[in-house]
Amino acid sequence: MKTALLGSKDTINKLMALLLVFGLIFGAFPIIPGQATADANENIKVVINGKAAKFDVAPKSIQGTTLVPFRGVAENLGGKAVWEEKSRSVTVTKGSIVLKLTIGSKTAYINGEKTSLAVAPQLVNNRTLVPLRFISEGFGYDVNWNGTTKTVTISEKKNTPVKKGGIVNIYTSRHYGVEPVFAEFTKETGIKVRFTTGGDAVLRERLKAEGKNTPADIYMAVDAGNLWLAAQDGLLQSVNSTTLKNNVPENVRDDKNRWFGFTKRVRTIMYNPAKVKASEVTSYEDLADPKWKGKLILRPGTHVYNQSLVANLIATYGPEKTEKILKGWMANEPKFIDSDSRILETLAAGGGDVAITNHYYLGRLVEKDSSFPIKVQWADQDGKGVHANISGAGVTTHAENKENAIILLEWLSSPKGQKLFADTNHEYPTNPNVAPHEVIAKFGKFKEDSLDKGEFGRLQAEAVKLMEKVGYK
Amino acid sequence: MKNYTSVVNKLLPGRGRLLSLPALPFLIAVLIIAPILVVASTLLTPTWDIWQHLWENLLPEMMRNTALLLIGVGVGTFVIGAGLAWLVVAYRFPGQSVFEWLLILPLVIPTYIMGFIYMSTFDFAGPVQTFLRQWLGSSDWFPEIRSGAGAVLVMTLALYPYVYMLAKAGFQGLSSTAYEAARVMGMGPGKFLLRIALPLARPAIAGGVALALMETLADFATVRYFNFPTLSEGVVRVWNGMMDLDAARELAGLLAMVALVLILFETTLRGRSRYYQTGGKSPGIPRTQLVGWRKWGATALCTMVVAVAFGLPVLQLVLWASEEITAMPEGTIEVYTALIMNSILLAGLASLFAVIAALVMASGVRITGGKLVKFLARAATIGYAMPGAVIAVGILLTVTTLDNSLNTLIEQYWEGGLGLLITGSIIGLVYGYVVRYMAVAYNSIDAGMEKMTPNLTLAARILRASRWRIMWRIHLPLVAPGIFAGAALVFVDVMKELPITVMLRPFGYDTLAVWVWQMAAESMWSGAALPALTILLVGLIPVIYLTRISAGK
Repeated sequence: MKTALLGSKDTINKLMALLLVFGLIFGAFPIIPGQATADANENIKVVINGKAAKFDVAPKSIQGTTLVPFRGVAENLGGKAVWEEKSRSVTVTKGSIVLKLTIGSKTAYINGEKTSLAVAPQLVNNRTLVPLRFISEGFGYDVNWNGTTKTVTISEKKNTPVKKGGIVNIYTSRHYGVEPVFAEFTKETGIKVRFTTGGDAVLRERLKAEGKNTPADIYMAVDAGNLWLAAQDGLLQSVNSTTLKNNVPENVRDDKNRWFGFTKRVRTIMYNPAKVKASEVTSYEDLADPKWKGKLILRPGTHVYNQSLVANLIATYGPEKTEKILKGWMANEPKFIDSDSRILETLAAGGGDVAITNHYYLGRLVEKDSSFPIKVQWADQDGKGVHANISGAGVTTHAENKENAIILLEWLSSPKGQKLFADTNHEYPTNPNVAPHEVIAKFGKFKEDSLDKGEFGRLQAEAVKLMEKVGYK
Repeated sequence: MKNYTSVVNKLLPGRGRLLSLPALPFLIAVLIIAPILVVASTLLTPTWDIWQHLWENLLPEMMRNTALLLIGVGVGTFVIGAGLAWLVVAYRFPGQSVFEWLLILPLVIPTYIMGFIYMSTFDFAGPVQTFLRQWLGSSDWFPEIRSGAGAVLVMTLALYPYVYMLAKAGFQGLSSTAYEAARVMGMGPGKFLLRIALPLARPAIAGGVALALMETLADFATVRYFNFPTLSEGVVRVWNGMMDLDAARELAGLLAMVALVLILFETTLRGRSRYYQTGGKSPGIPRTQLVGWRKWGATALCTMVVAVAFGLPVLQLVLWASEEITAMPEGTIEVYTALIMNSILLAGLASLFAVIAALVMASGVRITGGKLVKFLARAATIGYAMPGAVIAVGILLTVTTLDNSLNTLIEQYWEGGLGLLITGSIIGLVYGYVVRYMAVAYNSIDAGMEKMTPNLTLAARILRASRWRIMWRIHLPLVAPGIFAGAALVFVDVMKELPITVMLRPFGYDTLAVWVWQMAAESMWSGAALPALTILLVGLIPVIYLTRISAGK
């Protein structure tokens, strides 16, 4: 038979073989994702956190990028979407993350930082479609594409505590209530935490002296100034972590990501409502009014909390105005008591009418005794906002257990870690998605001075000199 | 009395002369002075603009306050300490035998604890003024506890036991023959005290007052409660606050100079005469029975001092602790046991090494009698007058340099090195304690050796005894009480110690004092009370021992 098929049959066979091969090659193309023709629209499914997402316009795949209606995706991911007609741009917000895209433009912005897209957003059927992966990842979700089922799966990023062993060593000046927090972390991740406490400056000296042989992996401190100084001294290293970048707003972390703030402590006006009307003390400057002579109680200027407050005032009002305010305070002959909680107790006993303390001391007292009479007044709400400091941490330059250290920091920034860490001391969490402890939530909302916390460190020496000049001891 | 030591030195060539620069005491002195020199060395190359800033703003007030505090506490502890010691030694009155040892007890209470207890008891929001306001309407007339006066009061109450103990030992050492001779000559007890007892007990009293003054100079935590900045407080504050180690070192250098002056002052206090007592133990002067109002006055006075210096703080601590005990989380017992063990271990090691160092130094002084050795020995006591924070920095710098160079060396042969051996280990910590507290052991041992005539040592040397033999067979037995007293004092001091412990301790190695500090720093008084009470209880053991040996002699 072979010899009979030769000749014309042979050619036909060859042609058929060629056709078969070509057919296979061309036919296979549509199966390879994204590289097919421009309108491979076939039924892309989107699953968000396990639930199928419905869009009023079906998701399209353009040049391998899946585009979806912007309002739909924003709402599905728990964010808000705004369309601006003039600039033909879409702004999608979730928590502290702001994404901005423009129709037809491949340039997009994440919290103001420029980035570029593979495919520009476009108008389809009068609906604006935006890249799904860009929005989802921007919000901190994991995006996975399954080519066979043509499904995009979007899931909440599991905060990296993968069960992992080992240890992490911490030098910390924040020692109240840390044990239960670390215990919980160890339970979840299997990583043991060992920590040594000490004063902030003392720990920095120790880190400096120990050099590359230091056992510490993390330096944790209260007061942004201390963290700033540690970074200045080269004791902390940069950490590149999307989780931390997403959970910790920019103004409470180092611009080079060497330290991250985990809790906020607001230093504001405390007053006795039986003797003082809230409207009389709305700003730090108000306390310089001579009517408070003999009625003002302050913590000595030597305490770092006050130094950071003055640094904040210098940055916001400038040195001359700050000097005036401080001179006014001193002219009122304040009582100096080196304990915020004692100050509050003295106010309650009638030993003064107004004072400046950290909010969490009041939180503690109110939790112990709900009838505690002193009230909090958020200062400068009509101005730039009240002074808020942070407690935070960073990974040391010579950390031996760097990975574990980053895992711990990420865990502290996660909702669970935040709740534990902040609540033990009635402080405010820095993660904007976490609600504060109910006792301090009752203090009400406040506008915070948006100044970069690192400034407290940069301006601290100047603040101290100014305080010494006006006699604020 | 001529010093025959130099004569003997010349007469005994060979071994004697080789050892005329005693190696071991010298080495020990260097080890102890080194960390302080490291910190104070900046004084040699002063940074003028730092000094100018300090002078304009901080220095005048700090110097003035330090002077006031030293004078106040010096006078206060002398009057209370020596006065009560005389009362208890020379007279008989109801409760005298009990008060004899009760009056030592405030020694176990750290000054900073005394400080915050007084603060919270007597300030505006405290129970005393609250009570007064309830009954009298206003308490504005009540003296402000947060002041220099308050600081002097609290520190005097906390420190008088040093003077009391040493003065008592001094008075008890007086021989009855002196007393009887004075009575025969018509001297009343008052005159006897002024013209005979005090001068004879002068070295002892001077030693006690010196200890109290040095503690005062070194204190930076207590004075802060009273808004009373002193030199030590300034050093620590400048360092922490201006976050400027250089400025802090400049101040520390100044502080070291003041401490040296203090040490020289103490030598002047002791006087030039040497008081030797020959013969065995004498029964001491006989006690005069007090009568009438004097009798009850004495009892009242002693009761008041004990109540105010010991009773009040303990009561307050117990009240606070009882609040806290109900709210104790699980596992606290284990944590506490660990804390107690750590505190005791450190205190024990420190007192052992401090006593050894002090003995070798004091012995060396007696054997060679050279001016250099004498000076070194005195200089080595300077640690007591320096704030612990300064010493901690000095040790840190000294020890980490050693550690790091050691590591660099080892890393050449062994990848990864050994990590830090001394820093952050118990060795570094105990080293720090010895630098700080050798003075206490030294003063105690030295006072004992002072009583011993040089003839004993000279006789031994002429008989060709080696230096070790002399120390072991002659000095040691004679000053045994001084040694144990010194050890007990160091033990109590280390139990209370804070800044060196905080700075140099190994990972996760906490002591009771550290816990007290952590709680007090956050105004969590009730949390601080339980560890504070534990310090007191543990510290009572050596103190009671001290009271026994001082009563027995």
